[in-house]
Amino acid sequence: MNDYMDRNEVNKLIDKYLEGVTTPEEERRLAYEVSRKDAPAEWKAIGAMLGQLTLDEAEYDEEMTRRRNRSIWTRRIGWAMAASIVVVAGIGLWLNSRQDKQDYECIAYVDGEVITDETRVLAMAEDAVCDIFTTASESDIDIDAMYNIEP
Amino acid sequence: MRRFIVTTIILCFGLIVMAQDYTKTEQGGMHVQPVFEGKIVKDVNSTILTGKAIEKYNLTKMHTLKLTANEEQRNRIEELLLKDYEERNKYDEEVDHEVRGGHVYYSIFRIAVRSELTFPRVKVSKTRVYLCYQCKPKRTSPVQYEITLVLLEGENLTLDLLKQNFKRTK
Repeated sequence: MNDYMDRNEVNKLIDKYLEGVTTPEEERRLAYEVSRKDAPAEWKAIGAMLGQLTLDEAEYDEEMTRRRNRSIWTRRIGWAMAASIVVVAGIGLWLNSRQDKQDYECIAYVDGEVITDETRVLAMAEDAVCDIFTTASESDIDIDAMYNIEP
Repeated sequence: MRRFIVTTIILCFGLIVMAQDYTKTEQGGMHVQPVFEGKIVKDVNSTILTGKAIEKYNLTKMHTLKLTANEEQRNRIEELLLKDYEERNKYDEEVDHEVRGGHVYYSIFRIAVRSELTFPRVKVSKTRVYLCYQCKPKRTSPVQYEITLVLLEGENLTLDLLKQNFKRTK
C-alpha cells in the first residue's frame, strides 16, 4: 500500500463501508486512506468509526510491504553483483588463455634475410643445437679413449 | 546504489589482478644477453622458436645464434659466458664444460633463473633454462672463430634429456 487512491475512489469505498459490504481488506485499505495527512474532516470521522485497531493494522501492512520490497531489491542486487563478478572473471580467464595461444614464434634471421618458414627455421635451430651436443659427446668419447675407458 | 557499484568495481578489479600471472623470470638479466642482441658482433644468424614447433623437445623456447668472431670479440663473448657460468644454478649441478688451450671449447649448463614472486600469488617457476656454447677456430688468417650460442627453455628439462633429444635428430 504505497500509493494513495484518488478521492473519488475513496468516497466510493466509504459508501461501501457505510452500507456494510466491505471486506476486511477493504476496511484496512480505507483505514490507510483516511489516515493520510490531507484527509478531509469527513474522512477522519470514518477513521474514528473504523477504530484504532483497523488503523494500526493498516499501518502494519504498509510497513511490512515496504520491508518486503526492500528485501527483494537487496536480493536482486546481490544476484546482479554475483553475476557481474562471474562475467568479469570469465572474460579475464578467456583473455589470459588467448594470450597463451598467441605466444607462438618461429623466425630466423640469416644474412639480413628474415625467414618464417617453420621447416627451414626449425632445421636451422636443430642444426645449431645438435652441433653443440655432438661436440660434447665426441669430446666425451675422446676422453674415454684417452683413458681407455669403455663407454 | 553507490555502495553497490563501488563494491562491485573493487571486487572485479581484485579478480582481474588475481587472474594475472605475476611471476617474472629474469632471463633478460643474463650476461650473454648483449651477444643475443647483436651488440658484440653485429652480423649474426639467429633463430627464435616458441610454441608447438618445439614441443616435441619439451621446450617452450629455443633461441640459437651463430656468428663469426675475431679474437677480441671471442674473448669478450667468453668473458660474458664465464660470468653466467660462475653464477649458474648451483643447486643442481648439470654441467658439461670443456676448456681447450685456455679457452672454452664448449659449455652446456643450467643458468640460475631468478623468479620474482609477487603479491598476491606465490608461484614457483618450473621453467629451466640452459645455455649452450661452442667455439671452434676457423682456418683463416687472421684467425676467426665460429661461435654457436643456444638458449633452451622448458619445464622439467634435464641435461640428459637434452642430450637424448638432440643427439637423436642428427
